[in-house]
Amino acid sequence: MTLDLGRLSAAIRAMGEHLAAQQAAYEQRVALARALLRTVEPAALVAAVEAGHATALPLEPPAARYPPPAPPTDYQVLATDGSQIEPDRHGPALWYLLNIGWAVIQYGATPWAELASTPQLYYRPEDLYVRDGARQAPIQGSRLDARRSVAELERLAALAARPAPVPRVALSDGFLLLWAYWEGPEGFVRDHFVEQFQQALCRLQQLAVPVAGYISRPRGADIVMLLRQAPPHRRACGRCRGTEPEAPCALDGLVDRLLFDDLAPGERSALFESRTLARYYPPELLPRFFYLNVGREVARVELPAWAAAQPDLVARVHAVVVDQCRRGQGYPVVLARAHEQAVVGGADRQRVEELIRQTLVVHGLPDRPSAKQASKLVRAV
Amino acid sequence: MAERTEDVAPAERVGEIIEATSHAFVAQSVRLHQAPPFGSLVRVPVADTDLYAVVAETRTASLEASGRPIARGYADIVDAAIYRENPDLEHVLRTEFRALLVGFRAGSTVFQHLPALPPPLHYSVYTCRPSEVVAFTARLDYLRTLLAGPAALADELVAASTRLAAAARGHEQGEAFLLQVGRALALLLRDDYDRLTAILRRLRPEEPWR
Repeated sequence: MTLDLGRLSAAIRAMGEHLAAQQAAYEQRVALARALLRTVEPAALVAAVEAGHATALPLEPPAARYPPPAPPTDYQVLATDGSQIEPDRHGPALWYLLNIGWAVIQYGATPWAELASTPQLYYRPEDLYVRDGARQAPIQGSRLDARRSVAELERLAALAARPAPVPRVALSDGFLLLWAYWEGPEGFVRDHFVEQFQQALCRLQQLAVPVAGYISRPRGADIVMLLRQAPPHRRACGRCRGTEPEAPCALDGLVDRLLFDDLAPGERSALFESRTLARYYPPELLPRFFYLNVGREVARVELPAWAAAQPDLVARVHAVVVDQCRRGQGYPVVLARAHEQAVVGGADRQRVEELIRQTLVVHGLPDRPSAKQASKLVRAV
Repeated sequence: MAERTEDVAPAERVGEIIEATSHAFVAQSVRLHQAPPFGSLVRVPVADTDLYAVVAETRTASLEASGRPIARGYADIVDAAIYRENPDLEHVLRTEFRALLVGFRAGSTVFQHLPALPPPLHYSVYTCRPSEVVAFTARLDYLRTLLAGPAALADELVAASTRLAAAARGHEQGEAFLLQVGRALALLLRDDYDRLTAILRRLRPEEPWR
């Protein structure tokens, strides 16, 4: 049966009313949070992070804002993005595909660009499972996302290894950590991917190419969590103080980007360091981030600590991201190009599946899907 | 006018075929915005024959079907400067041209009728050297093929291809060729005097119209 839209419409109407009612409350909360950010004593926030109550360590006055520096007249920007065909355990054979797309664009006196992609098919046991002694975990879902993130960053490091005559910035789509995988329970799988990811981050550091993770419409609430630890708020909020677990909190439901909605176009927020995964990453690779008004939205930009510690590199990344968003109508053009290269459409997917089926037939191997999949392909009534 | 001095230049690979039917093909231009001229003769070598076609339409658009170009100029960044400012554009736009098949050459014989099969996809399209243009246009049966398209475009196409074929012959023989085409058109369009004069006027655009 198809989706019963008639039954859904009442719920959709209720949702609209709910969101409209929330809007006014949010505006008050945002005003409160901004006032806290301006007035809070930074030392109190640093102490809260060091005590493990919050994760975003302020590295500049928390309410500071910085206008965009002029971008270098000549610069090169690199980006990668990936897409995948998930392994299908109901399919005739177990395999998956990663397609890594990349874009290199140089601006200035010698403008040029390179847009390309490279597909990789994985089907050997060592590709299909992460192993640790007798334990093994199939690569699929969030584990495949992690493998893709590693492949994207490795490709970025390989592009950065080419010599370039002009200043460079490498952009990656999303966080500079393997967030996608973080909830995974298997420590050995996480360690497997984190080690590879760190190696690629280290190569970029050795090459002195600042790599920035670009997050469009970020949902992070690191700064909001930090403000919950601000003494004036804790005095007023029983929940954040820990004495009244059920009490309403005036910062509920906020995300960081709403706090920074008042940045002027091109302005960035202060730098913060994310300590969430400090156990797993060496200090020089820990992500530092700022929020940035790119014109159409407030985005989050993450840099590894080694790059964020150099003001000229922060200025370069800030200026280049703003320039890229100006050229890309609100989103970095180099990331958009890398994405276009990476994308695997439904028709491509079907062709790959068909080619694999053909090769199975050629080798006299069974080419049938599982009974469950077969029943979906031919609906008997 | 120079007498066929370009003849020493090698034919240039200008496109790759991405669509083909019995009577026409579409090719993607090797370089953005550099399709062969409207009305020019192009050649597609297939095994030991050469297929000939006349370029009838050129278009430039996004490489991706869903992509839509947007205006990018601002301040003094206009025209060519837009491409210098956005070096990625050359990689996401493509120029295509459509060419009408008008005949083929097998061995040393030129046939001015449609080949048995259209060219395969992804085969290369070359410009024709002046000597090839002269050899192919020694007969004028292909004019009927060109005239068969939508009238307004077909008139322009016949005129453009004739002007180019005349230029390939150099000044004196070019004049004779124009007369020869004029006579052939007078026969083909004997029932349509208006159309005939419209084309004839386009054959000698530099001459004041009487």
